[in-house]
Amino acid sequence: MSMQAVILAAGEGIRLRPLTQNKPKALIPVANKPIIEHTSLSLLEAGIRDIIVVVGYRKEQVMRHLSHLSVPVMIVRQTEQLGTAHALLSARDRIAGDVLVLPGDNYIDPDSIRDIARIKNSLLYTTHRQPSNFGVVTIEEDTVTSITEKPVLASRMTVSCGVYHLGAELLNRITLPSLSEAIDDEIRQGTRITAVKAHSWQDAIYPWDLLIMNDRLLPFISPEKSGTISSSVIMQGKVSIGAGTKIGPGTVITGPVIIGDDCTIGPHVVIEPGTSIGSRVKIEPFTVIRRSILMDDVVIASHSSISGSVIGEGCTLGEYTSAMYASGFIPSGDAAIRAGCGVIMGNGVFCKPSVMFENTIVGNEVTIEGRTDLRFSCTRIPDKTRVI
Amino acid sequence: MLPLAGRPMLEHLLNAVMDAGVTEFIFVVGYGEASVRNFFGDGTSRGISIRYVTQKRQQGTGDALMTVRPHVHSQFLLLNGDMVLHTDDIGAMLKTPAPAMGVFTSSHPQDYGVVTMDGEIISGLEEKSLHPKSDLINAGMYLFEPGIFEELTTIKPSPRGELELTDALMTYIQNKTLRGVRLGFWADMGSPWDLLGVHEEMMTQIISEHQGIIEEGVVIKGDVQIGPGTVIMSGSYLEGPCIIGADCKIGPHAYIRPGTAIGNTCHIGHSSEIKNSIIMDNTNVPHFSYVGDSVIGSGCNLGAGTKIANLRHDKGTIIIGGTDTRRRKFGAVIGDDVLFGINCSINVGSVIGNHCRIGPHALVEGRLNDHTVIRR
Repeated sequence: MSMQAVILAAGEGIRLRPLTQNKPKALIPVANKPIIEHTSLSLLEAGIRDIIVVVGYRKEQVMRHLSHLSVPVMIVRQTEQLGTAHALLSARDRIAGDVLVLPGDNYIDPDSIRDIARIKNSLLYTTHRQPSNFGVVTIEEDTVTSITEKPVLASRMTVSCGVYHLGAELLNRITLPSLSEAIDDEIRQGTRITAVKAHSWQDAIYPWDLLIMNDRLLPFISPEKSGTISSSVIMQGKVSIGAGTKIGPGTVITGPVIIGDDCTIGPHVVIEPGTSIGSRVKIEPFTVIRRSILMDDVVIASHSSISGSVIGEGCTLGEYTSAMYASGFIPSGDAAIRAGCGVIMGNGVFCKPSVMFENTIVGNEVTIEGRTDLRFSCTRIPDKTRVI
Repeated sequence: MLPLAGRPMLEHLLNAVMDAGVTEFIFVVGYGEASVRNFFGDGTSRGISIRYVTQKRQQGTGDALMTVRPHVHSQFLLLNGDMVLHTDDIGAMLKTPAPAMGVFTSSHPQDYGVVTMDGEIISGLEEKSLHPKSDLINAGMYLFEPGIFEELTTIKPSPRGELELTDALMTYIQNKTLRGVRLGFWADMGSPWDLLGVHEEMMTQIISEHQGIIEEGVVIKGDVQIGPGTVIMSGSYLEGPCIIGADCKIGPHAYIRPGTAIGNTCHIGHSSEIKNSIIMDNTNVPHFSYVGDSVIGSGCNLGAGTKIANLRHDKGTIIIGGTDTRRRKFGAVIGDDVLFGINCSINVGSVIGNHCRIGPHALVEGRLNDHTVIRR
């Protein structure tokens, strides 16, 4: 198949802050691989080899990562982040004919890609409980009749996955900066856009959505073990352990769980399903981790309990830290957003022992010190705050 | 170079091709090059000529073929080294006008490249697919004219960054010039369980030959090959077909069951039972062990009492890392230089990499990468 694919990886993903302060959304690790890598692998599995990636926000990081991929990809720069169609058009000179456009920060399965690759001038859609965060599509039979990007009031539950198969002629007519607006305009001009239902698709709008994406991707890991594992470790389900990792006696790991390289875990740690642990992570004895993402170089001291959380690179959590899943509203600018998580932590957070978190967002490089017990609930701690 | 019925896989293939009348060979070697050269030499002892070409980069079948371009000026047969063929099929292939491809009717075509045929002509070729269009598969045997090299220069690397030979065949398929030759027998060794399946079949063809020392009180039934320098000690019970290499020590009181091939300088000791397994050179199973339906590399040691399970309680087929082996009985695949402590239990379908160290009394299951350590 000689089809080309353009992956849009120029955006920041502001709503994922603080996680995207230092790296673009496409590079956030889910199941220990950046989201864009999952997308690239799906493309390859669907037989699409000619891949162009549009970079912008923190482009050096994206480019450095792409150079480590096993597949050669072409890189195009978008100088200003003006919109998805603008990003696509930055790659205009490299596109020979019909093209598949995909967001670099969503998970899309290979079957959906195969399906949409067969039908020119089409878009991938799915149903979502909170459609107003997406482009809402109206569909009659299998034809799209309109797309409205992030409407105040969504009239349907059907949303666009941001994946399009565009014919060369249509591509030439695009002038608007946003792809969904451009397609909506095309529909009004009478172009037929076919709606293709996605098999499996997952976006992460807010940080806690990463845990859902993690749940979706973890079942596909290959359960390979490396490192030094105690014979009294109990592992059930799909568990993958990287090279150089040490797992101490009495540790219980229930898959799907992925653990990176050179970690030290246990003795006597419990890791429950839906957990991804990066490289060089240290988890001390008597700590339990449930359905969380721990990025590289995190240290979690003993007697801690972490659930439903995303912990950024290089965070250090003291003894008896507890992050409990709760749902409720977290302030966001002048408004509040409905959230459900333990704690979402940016990079390099230091947290003294015996702190409790519930449904809290902690910014990058926050330091939490002091002697009394602290409890944070449904709140947001800005970047570089010092709590004493 | 993995052994099948006591001889390297490649030797079986070479013999089949020689018997079909081919005398000039070029081996494209890469990984494990020295062992291939040392074993086969220049072929004079077999009355043939063997030349070697080194593929420095492992960049796909197309790239491997390109390395022989300077040496090939006429019609030639191209074969994958990891399969077993029968001489009459190779003969039929040589009588077909080039270009031609060997095809085989498989019961599980979804694991291979699938071809569709229109009479004698191949009309389509697709890579592994969940819904294969036919049960005919690409057997990895081809007859080409030197023109294939021209085709190879026109193709682009695949997603794996490799030059795929099958991409170069597309022009032939479009021009309806690629012929398919149906093979009567074909077995590929892409995976260890395939190896064991073919091994079982080949073992039925061995001929009894006793060298070395067989002590009093040894029972030998059926066809058993025993190499020079090997000692079979009292109380051992050997059921053929089985092969025991040179300089081994078997017993006392070892039980060797049908389908077993033991390499050179191995020790199978007291109260150890080996069934339908391949055990490579310098590996010891010295005391109280059971090894069934397994492949064990060279330089391994099974501590006293270490056992390998080979049957599930539900009697289901054994699945390794999501791949169905289609075998109801399958033990473990163990790499080279793996040491087990005493009383380890190795579960069905385990795949253990090279240089692993397993402490005493450990339960081993699933897939362990190279250098993994399991300890107290």
